This record gives sequence, structure tokens and C-alpha cells, in this order.
Amino acid sequence: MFVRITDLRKTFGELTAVDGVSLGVEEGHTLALLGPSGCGKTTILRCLAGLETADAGAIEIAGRAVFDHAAGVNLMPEQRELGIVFQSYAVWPHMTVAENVGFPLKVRGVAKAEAQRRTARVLDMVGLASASAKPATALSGGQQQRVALARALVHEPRLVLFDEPMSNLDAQLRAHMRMELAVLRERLGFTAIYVTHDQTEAFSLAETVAVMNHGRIETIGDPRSVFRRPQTPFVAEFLGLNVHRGRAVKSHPAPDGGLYVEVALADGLSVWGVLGSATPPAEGAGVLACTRKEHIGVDKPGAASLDPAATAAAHPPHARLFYGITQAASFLGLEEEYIVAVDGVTFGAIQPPRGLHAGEAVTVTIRPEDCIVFVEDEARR
Amino acid sequence: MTLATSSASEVTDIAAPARRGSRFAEIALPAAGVFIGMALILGPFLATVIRSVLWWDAAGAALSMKNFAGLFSDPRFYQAAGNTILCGVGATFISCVLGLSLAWVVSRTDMPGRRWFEVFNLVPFFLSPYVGAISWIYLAAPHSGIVSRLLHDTFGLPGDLIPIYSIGGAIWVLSLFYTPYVYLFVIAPMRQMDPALEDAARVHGAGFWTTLRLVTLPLLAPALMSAALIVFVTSAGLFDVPLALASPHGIRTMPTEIFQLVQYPSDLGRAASFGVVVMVFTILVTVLQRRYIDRRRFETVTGKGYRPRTIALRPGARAAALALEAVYIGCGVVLPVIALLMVSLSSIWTGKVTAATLTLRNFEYVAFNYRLTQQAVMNSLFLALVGATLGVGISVLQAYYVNRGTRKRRGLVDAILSLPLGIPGIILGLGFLILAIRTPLYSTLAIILIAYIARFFPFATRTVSAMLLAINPELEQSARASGATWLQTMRYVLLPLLMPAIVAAWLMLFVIFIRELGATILLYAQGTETISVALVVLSERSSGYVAALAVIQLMLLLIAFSLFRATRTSLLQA
Repeated sequence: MFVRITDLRKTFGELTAVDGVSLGVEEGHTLALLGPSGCGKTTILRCLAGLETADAGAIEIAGRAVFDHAAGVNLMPEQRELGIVFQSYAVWPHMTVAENVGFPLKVRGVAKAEAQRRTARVLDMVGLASASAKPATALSGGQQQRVALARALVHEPRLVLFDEPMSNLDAQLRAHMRMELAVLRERLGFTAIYVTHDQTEAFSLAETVAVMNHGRIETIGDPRSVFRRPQTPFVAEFLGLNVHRGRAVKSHPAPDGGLYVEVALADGLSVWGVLGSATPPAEGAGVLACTRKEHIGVDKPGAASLDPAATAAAHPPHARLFYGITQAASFLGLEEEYIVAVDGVTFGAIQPPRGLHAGEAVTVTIRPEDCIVFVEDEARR
Repeated sequence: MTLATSSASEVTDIAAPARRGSRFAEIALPAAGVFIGMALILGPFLATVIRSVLWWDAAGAALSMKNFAGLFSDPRFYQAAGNTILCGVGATFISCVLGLSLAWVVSRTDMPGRRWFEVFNLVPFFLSPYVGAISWIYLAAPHSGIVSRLLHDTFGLPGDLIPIYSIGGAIWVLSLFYTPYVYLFVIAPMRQMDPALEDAARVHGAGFWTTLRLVTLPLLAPALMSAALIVFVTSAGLFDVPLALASPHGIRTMPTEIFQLVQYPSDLGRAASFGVVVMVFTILVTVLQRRYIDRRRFETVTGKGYRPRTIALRPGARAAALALEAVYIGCGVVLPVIALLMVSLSSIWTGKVTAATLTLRNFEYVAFNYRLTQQAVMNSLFLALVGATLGVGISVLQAYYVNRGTRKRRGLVDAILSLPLGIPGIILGLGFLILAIRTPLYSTLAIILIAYIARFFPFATRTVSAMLLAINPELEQSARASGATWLQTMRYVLLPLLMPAIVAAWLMLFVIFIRELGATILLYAQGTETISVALVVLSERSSGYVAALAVIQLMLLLIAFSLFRATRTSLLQA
């Protein structure tokens, strides 16, 4: 592993910001730390940079211990050979664009001509060659972020840290910068750790995504598996799934060796789902049923091929079809988002436009393979 | 629908006269505030300019440059100007170093007790520089000073080791007094600066000192330059300290020289020409500084709530930080107060307190038996209470004029209204003296009151303006849209929101007026002495009385200071 974090801990007074985190990043890879604000992701990044001192644990970058609590090792930020891009850009207002970008070379004592050459090359790469003599604050937010990026890359650091770099940009610019960053990374092949609360950024830029909550890693893996199969209720909720509390009714073995569980969400309203927890729930135990909005089928009555009476009785596990009422409908462009109520339980659903309005009677379809069931005791919430 | 419309118009009809009155007030009141301010500034300014080019001889008055010619051919002018600039530059330099260091250790390190020091560092801001100079005489005067005696008796050092009666002594006392100005100017940007600006430098390879040199200090430069200018013009123009520390040894400075020119046999013409030179110089310096700031103004505050990163000091650095605080608070507050108390409690002052000389007689005399001091306390209280109230009143109107609405020439108005910030009090006092000298106003408390307000209302206007800028005008617009008249909007929305700034400005003016000397010294007459004037008068008689009266003044100032703390308003808004 190129970057290795071992059992890192950091508290601020009463608050445990990082609670025993261990993880690794391979050379040339990007790790995304994804999570809501206050989950500890930025603290890990700042510990990596040497801007915070962890209370315990060790950090190794490129085979060198930069922090080791037990051994008393704690390198200064400037000794760690890193690059960093902050959310606030942190572009120095009293310097020109070229002075900002050339700073890491200047403080390293790189000869002037050489520094100018390298600065020009990086500025060219981020598309700011023509702005190099401008005062940094004369640039727009997106351009300032490019300056920050160029500054973080110019000295070819061993590791580049990104602290929510796109959060201050508007949505369109963010999408654009994301693509640019992906291209730059492809070209330069730097190792990076990318902190964000935006799942799209995390999934599109990283080889590995770690979802964090309360200072711990909830789940870590490649973007596809993290997305497709949330490992915990927290991850499911963070990724935007419907999460409903219910009781386990019965279970049935699945063909792939897993377990189907029937969950009662309300009187006379139960769905089948796939068990996501390690141990099966006892009958009547509290469970959480998680469904992806895109997988909740919403149709005009009669359009669906299933018959509610037949699906309720169907056994073993089968898709369930209910009658519901749309409470709200919003047009998103290629899709429409609905909130539908079934027997007092509400589901969010995203479907290709069906032309439905609020207050319409609809059928709601939920298939067992689209519903993940977690035993509630396991849920750290 | 018809019904609703007619009843609405009925309401409008009833309220119409009130609305018309309010519309008049909306235009007239802020304009009146500005007009009064302009008159207060331009009156003495023009009087000084005109007087400087008038020459009286047997044939009567005539326009002439003889005053200036006389001034420029007098070597004393050059001595005074040189010494004054030396005083200003020295005090500015030391204040900047002290103020920056104190602000940094308080706001950016984990120095123990920094919450307390944060408050204590401001105390000298509230004390009287004249009393500070007197206390330092008690401490360091050759042979009789407390410290001088200690050094002599304990270490056998010469008794006149500390040259307190010198330009150096004046610089030292001025620096102690003006350090909080720098401290206040730089601590806000230091605190609110995006820590990522420094973090980025560290991560990209700059060490602590390199970051300080290449990033932190340049980012603080605009705030530091503003502070340096204010400290330079005000410390150089201060009459109090040179009067106590330079005059006794015949060292000439600008303020004491102007004071001398007004004394019998007075030469008002030459004093006025000296005043014009000072005013032109001050305005030039201010304009140059504005140019510099405008070129280098940049946003280091992104409006996000940052938790400033505190630096963990190593034991050696922590000791150094605490020593710095101890020296500043010790020299600026503790030692002077101890000296004052010791002198005020002694029947004869010999440089040490003994049981035989311990007495409360000085306080008894000053408070109960002496007409001059009793009158002085009453006068000072009157001037401070009435002056602060009137000053804050016009400052609110001016702040509104400058920050709200679409009045033309706001920039020019603001520039003119800020002029007195740099004009020394004694120069403004001279202007009012020239204006009032042959009128019934001369030798009244009223002329002193007017001079005080004219010299110091810009401080209040600044404070109120800063807060007004931070109040979203939509709050007032909502009130107007809800049907409130302008007067109602002021009363129910804007003034309550501005109250913290109004209270802060009032207390600031109160403190300034209680201790003011420069603007008073040319305008007082028998019966209109203030506390500070009484201190000067008494200083030729008994140090015990002086110290006792100074302690009384100190109490008044400390009461204002604790009120300031109690209202929890921040001086940083100024």
C-alpha cells in the first residue's frame, strides 16, 4: 500500500471525530472519503496533511512513517511532500496566479527559470496559461479552484489531498470540473485522497470509496459494489434509498445461498426483501427495509401485469403490488419523482415520466431483489 | 373588493399627515446630522486657515504670508516638527510590534490565560495618556522614581538611569497607550482569516516562519497599515505626553509649541500657520494611505465560520509569550496604577511609602475641600455625559446618510466627516479658539463641548457605520412594505438593531471625553476646568493631589470599561 492509515483516532473535547480508522490506498489510485458533514472525513485528511495531530494510530506515505503515535513520529506539514486543494480554494489574494502556483517550487528553492517553466506547464494543463500574471482574486471561483489544483500538482507531490474541492462551485461547473479532474488524473497518474459529501463525485473519481459515519468507516469498496449493495442501513439512507422500519414475519432461503425475509411495514402491508445483515432476524424482530427509489414501480391502475390479491398470497417470495395514492409529483426532466402513500407508509419513487399528478390512485410494485433488509439491532444510528 | 379598497384608502387618508411628516424627517434628519458634522469640522478648519494668512499691524489687518514666513524661518519649528515625527514614528513602530505580537499570542496560540489577557490587553486603551505619563514620572523620574530608587538601592545603579524626560520616554509611554489600537486592528483579520490560506502554504512546503513571512504578514498588511497610520497621526499629535515628559527638559514638540504660541504673549497667527501645516501634512498622509489600501484591499474572510487553528506552544515559547504579556500589562497598567496609589496615599512623596507618610488626606482634600477639583470633576462628568449623547446622536444620523439611500457624494461626505480622525485635538482646539475668541462662547463649557464633539464624533460614526453595513437593508424595507413610516422603521427596527453599536460608541466617547486634554487646554477658563486640566494645574503644586485626582479619574474610566465588558459589545466593530 502506498498510503496506509492504521487505527487512527482523534477527539476534540467530548467529540470523537475519528474512531479507529484503518485504510490503505494503492499507488496511482484515488480513495474517496464519503459521508455527511461531521463524520470525520475532513479530520482524517487534515491528519494526513499534518494540520491536525491524531491522538493515536499511524500514517505511512510512500513507505515513510509521517505519523506514528506510539513511536513519537509526527512530521510537520511541510515535511510530508503533499499537495492539497481546499474547499475555500485558499488562493493567496496578495499574489498573482503564477506566484500562487509557483509557491511550492519557490519554498523548495527550485531555480527561477526551472520554476517558471514548470509553473507555465501546469497552468497550461489547467487551462489558465493566459491568466498567469493576473492577481489571483481577479479570477472566478472555478478558475481559482484551477489555480489551487495547479498549485497542488506543480511540485509533483507523492499524494494529493482534496478537501471537498467542488463544494463552492455551482452544479454545472462542478460536473465540468469533475470531468477535467478525471482527465488530469488519467494523464498524470497521481495518488489522491478525495473528501466529499457528494456521492457522484466519489463514485466517478475514485477506485475505492469509503463511506464514513460518526468517525468510523461504514463500508469500503469499489464504487460499483458500494452503490449496488449498501452494506449498512446508514449507507442505504446516505445513498438516498427509502428506509422503512418493520418487523420480520418469515424467511425463505434464496437460490444464491442468501435469505429472503418478509417484512411487515404496517397492518396488511408486507414486502419481501433480501437479508443484508450477517445474521437472520428472529421472527417479530425489528428490521429495516431499504428500497432504491428507481426500483419502486409506480403505474396507473391496470397498467401493471400483477394482481394485488394474487401477489399477497404468492409464496415463496414474489414481487408485491399495492394500491396507493400519489402525494406529490415533481418533474425532473428525463424522470419524475413521486411520493406515494400505501396504507399510511410513504415511498419515494423515481420513474420515467408517467404523467401522474398528486392525488392519483396508482399501483406500487416492489420486487424482493430490490429490497435490502437489515436487522435493526445491528444498525448503529 | 370595492369595500376593501375604500377602507384601505381611508386608512391612508388618516395616516397621511404622519406620513408626510415622516417623509420630511427621512430627508431632513440624516442631512441635518451631516450638516452639523460638516459645520463642526469646516468651521475651525476655515478659521485656522483664514487666521494663518491674516497679519495685523498699525494699518490694521491684511492678507499676508508673514505668519508662514515667520514660522519657516524659526529653528524652533524644525526642532518641534522633527521631534514630533520622531515621537510618532517611534511610537508607531513599537506599537505595531507589540500589538501584532500580543494579538497573535492571544488569538492563535494556546498560551494559558489567553481569555484573560485578551481583555487586559485592552485596558490601556481606556486609560488617560496624561495620567500614564505622570505615573511613569513617579516610576522612573531620576532619583525619586520608585523604579529608579529600587535600582539604585538594590543594585547600586545610578539613580538617573532611566531617561524618562526625553523623546525616548515619550515614545515609551505613547507606545504603551497606542498598542491596543494596533491590537484591535489586527486581531479581527487574524481571527477571521481563512486558516486554509496558511495551511495551504504549510502543506506545499513552507515552514512556520516562511509561512509567516510570505503569507500571514502580507495578508495582514492592509489592517496593519491602517493601524500604523492612525497611531502615527494621533500619537504624534497628542499633547498630553510631551507636556509631561518633553516640556520639563525644554524639548520642543508640535503640540507643546502650539500651546506655547497661544500663551501670553500669544501669537495666534503663527499658531494658526503651524496648525495649517499640521492639517495639510495629516491630510496628505491620510490620502496616501487610502491609495495604498485601495490597491491592496483583498478578501481574506470567506464568511464561513472557521475554527482558527491554535498553535501549541513549546515550553520555551510559552514562557516567552507569558513574559511578553507580563511586560505589557505590567508596564501599561499594573506599575502605573501602583505608582498612582502609592503617591496618592503619601503626604510627602519621597520615592517610597513609609508608615509615617501614609495618609488619606490627599483624597479628602481633592474630593471635599478644593473648589478647583470638585468643579473639574463636575465639568468633566457634564461634558462626557452630554457630549457622548449628542455625539452619538449625530453619528447615527451621519452613518445612516452615508450607508443608506442613494444620496449623492456619499464618498466625499464620508471623507470630510472622517477628517478629524487624524487632526490633533490641540489643532482643533486652536480652530475653535480662533472662532470663539471674541464671542460670548469664549470661556464657556459650551465651546469645550462643541470642540469635543467635533474632534471625536467620527469615532462614533465609524462604530455605528460598521454595524449599519452589516444590517441587511431588506430588514428596513420589509418594515416599510408592512406599512411603517420612516420614523417608525427607525424606532422599531433599525435603532434596536443598532443598539449594541450605539452603546459601544457612547461609552467610547464617554471615556475619551473624561480624559481629553489636547482639545481643552486652549479653551478652558477659570470655572471650566476639566479633570485633565486640573491635573496639569495641580502638577505645579502637589504630586499627592495630582495622584488622588488621577485615581478618581481612573475609577470613572474603569467603570466605563466594565460597562463596556458588561454590554458584551465588541470593540472590533469599530
